[in-house]
Amino acid sequence: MKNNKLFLTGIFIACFTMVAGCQTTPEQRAAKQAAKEKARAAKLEKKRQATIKKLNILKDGEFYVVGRIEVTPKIKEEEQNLKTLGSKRLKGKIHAFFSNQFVDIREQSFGIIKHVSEVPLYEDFIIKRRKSDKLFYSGGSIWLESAASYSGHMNKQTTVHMGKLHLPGDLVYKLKPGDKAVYVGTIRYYRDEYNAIKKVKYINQYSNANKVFKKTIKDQTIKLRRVKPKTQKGVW
Amino acid sequence: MEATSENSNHYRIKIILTAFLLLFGLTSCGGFKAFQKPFEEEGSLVFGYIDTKDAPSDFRWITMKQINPDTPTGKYGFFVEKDLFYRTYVPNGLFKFHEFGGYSYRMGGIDLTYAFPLQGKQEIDPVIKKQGIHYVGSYKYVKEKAPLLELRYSLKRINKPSEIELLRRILQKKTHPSWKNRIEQRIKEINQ
Repeated sequence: MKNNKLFLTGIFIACFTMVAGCQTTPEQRAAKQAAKEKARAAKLEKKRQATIKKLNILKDGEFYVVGRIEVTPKIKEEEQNLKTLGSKRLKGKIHAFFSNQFVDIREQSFGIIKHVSEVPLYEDFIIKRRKSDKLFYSGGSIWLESAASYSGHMNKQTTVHMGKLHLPGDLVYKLKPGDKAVYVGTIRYYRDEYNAIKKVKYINQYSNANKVFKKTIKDQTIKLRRVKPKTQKGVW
Repeated sequence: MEATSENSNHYRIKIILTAFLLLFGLTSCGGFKAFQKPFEEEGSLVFGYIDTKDAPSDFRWITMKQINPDTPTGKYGFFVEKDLFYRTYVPNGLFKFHEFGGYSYRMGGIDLTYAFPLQGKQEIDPVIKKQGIHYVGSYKYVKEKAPLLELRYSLKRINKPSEIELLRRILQKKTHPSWKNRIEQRIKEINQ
């Protein structure tokens, strides 16, 4: 018994020393956090520069689409419960369906990928699309939930919980053959407590969007043209 | 030597008991019991029924989220007994049912989770303005047409079991006298 007690005390002291040794001072922790933040910011900037570089290469048969999508009340960071691998990058973003045809945004198939663009919410976006005589906006979807839970014997079973906020579209933009860049406006959605979309508004913020466009796209000869949307039923 | 061996057995039993208690504590429903305290102390009773006979699994759990006032820990679990679900300690506010699930023997022994629609107020979602007894309805699981490898369902409102029948089932439990009075009063109100 005595030996056992001595052994347990030894283990306790060893564990305590290990835990105490791992402790860092608040200054060290803050410095570590700051270095982490700096590295993250540098990584994001590098990514942004790469995206801009890619955006500046406009192939034949392509044109720019510039606009903005907003949801009111604003989607809070904690509302997006994104915990599965790779899903965190979808925070503050929306999958916008600007394409040469209307698509069902609730459809879950590989074929739909070509109609989707991942754009930031509450910011002016610039995307490239294939030329056509009309541009169709089928809506958007925002990931609100992507989390896994484990159950069953030895946690063998994994359940992935996914949830999206679907935003309606139904907009058509008539294009001209010479269009190289079109402004589709700010589409603002109003939601209630239950996340149901109660109202959709089209807002013209051309001058701001044009500034962003000129700053991002080096080819200053490309003119951003404002195009008014129409719904399938008539003028919005 | 004999004494030492007895002692070590004693420790072993103690460890197993502690592990069992820990497991029990972690898996029990939020560590509370319904209807044990007076009605005024336990907040509102929310209850309903989902007939899952046609579902691929049985019905074992259901959760609800508080959406207004917005609270970080606003998730509520329920007791589920033979398709009846109920819980007390529900404050005033707007709520939205989140998910329910159960165990499927038919599908090879797996847990299944069914999500409620994320957008819009559903018939089942309660709005609690005043402390009381809130019946969210009786529903039946209905399988919907879906593409291969996808499961779609809807909940169809049914009349049976009625609110009174479910309240009578709740009355069969060990309830605090104030809860008993309150539930009986509610049954009278419906009958009038």
